Amino acid sequence: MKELDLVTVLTVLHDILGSALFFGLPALAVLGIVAFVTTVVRERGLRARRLFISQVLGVVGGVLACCLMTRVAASGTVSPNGAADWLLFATVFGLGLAGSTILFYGVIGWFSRKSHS
Amino acid sequence: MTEPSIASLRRRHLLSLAAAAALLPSTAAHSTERLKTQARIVIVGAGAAGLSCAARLARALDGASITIIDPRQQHLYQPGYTLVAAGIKGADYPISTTAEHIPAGVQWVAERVSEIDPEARSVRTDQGQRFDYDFLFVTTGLVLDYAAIEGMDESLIGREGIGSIYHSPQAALATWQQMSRFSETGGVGVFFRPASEIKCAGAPLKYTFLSEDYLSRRGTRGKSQLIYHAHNKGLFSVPVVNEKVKLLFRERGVQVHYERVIKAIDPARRIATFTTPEGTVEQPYDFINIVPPMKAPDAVRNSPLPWQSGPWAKDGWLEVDKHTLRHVRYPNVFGVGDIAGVPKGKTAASVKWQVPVAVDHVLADIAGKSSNAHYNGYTSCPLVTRLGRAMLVEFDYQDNLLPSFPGAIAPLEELWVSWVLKTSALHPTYIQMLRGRV
Repeated sequence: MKELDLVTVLTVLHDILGSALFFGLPALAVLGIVAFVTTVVRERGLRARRLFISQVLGVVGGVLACCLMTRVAASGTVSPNGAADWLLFATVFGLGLAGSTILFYGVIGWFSRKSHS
Repeated sequence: MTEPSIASLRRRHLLSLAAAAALLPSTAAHSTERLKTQARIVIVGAGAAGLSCAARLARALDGASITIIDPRQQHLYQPGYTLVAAGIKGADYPISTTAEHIPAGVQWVAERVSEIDPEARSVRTDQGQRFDYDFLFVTTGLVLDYAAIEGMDESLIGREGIGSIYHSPQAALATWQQMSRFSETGGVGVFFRPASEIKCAGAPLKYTFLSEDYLSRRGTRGKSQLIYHAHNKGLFSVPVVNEKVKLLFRERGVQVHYERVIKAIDPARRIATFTTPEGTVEQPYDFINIVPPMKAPDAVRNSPLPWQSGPWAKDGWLEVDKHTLRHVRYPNVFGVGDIAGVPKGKTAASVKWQVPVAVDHVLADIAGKSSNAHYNGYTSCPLVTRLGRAMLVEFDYQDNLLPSFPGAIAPLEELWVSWVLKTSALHPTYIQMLRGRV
């Protein structure tokens, strides 16, 4: 793909994901990062108990990310077989885990602030 | 002239903004200066190769007259037929309109080319229009010659256990219905490929694998027999892939007969007849996937453009240099895609690599320069081996394996990720190819 550029990659991704996911997932990521950073800055550090709860919920997020990938990309059939397949699943699970941990930490922090105020 | 859809332009603009927002560089492809010329360029055929050529030429040239001639209103994504015939996608999955892929600045003539005269540098349509050219791209694709099989008729597809995945989306769906019924009951499944050059030579193998998988999933494999008739002494032209497919067929109990070429079919008796070095043999079947012989369209066959001798003369494939796609006797004529008489690769993946080479040579000619663009025969076959698994086989004229993801996706490994590429990523990438973007 000599002339593969970012617009083309985005167009292909858009076709695979559909508009809702293509725009929704980055929006959710931005929202999560903003909420996380805001919470950490306001509280001047991480809260261990909240981080632990977020990580537990993050595991669920990782599983959901894998489910989402198989639903979007696999045409109804999931049949991982070789190292490349498991690497893909591990990557998606890791991204889902990290992303949802950050999101949940920010969201819980937001609501705990509201409940304290 | 047809403009791209407003929705597609808006989306592309939106995505361009997204790319800009990501502060990542775009390629030079969008910023290169257009070459001014009065050249008349005619493209015969608006399939994958023709549309890709048109898109690249329209983007590269300023002032050229670019005409694409093809009566077909529908554009068909043929790599999707196997998925329709496997019950994975619906019959509308491969279908779009030709109009939506015609680039801005290109004139589309919805007529059939009936005559090509490279001496006079003109083509003529069945409506009597004549188009003179300075450069000609022959991108007609090929024709399916069902009549070459005695007793076979396209109307039989979807009846009496007969399927044919190559014909059309509707025929692929009808094939799925026949195969699905067969996999519920079991019986004798017969698969083969003809002796002629064919597009996507892996497709008959894929469909054998998929049929076996459905029989296994539905519990009828034990009372079924699957038989593959190879037209020569191998199953696949690349030796290492050939050995792998033989191994998989052996593991999955697919019987193979070599040097058997389809001759006739008797739908009433459900018997196919094959020629062998020892004579003819009759093969009973409950389900059969008919892969017809393929040849060049009449307009090409009746012109001086086909090979005059050798293995590609009989079926009328264009006599082009295998590395430049330039016609050997008419240097201002190029043959791209299925019609090209080159050793390998009547696939969309081949088109992706052939088009930039042929277009580069024309641009160089117009600019009075020479081009060193070179096509190495690259082609790709996502060889589906069961539902959810495929081998991403990529190779060149020399049978070298050319993996796109070396170290990650092994060419001979049955992987789910290769299946995902086939079922999800290739179609949108193909659409980008039509727009000259990949």
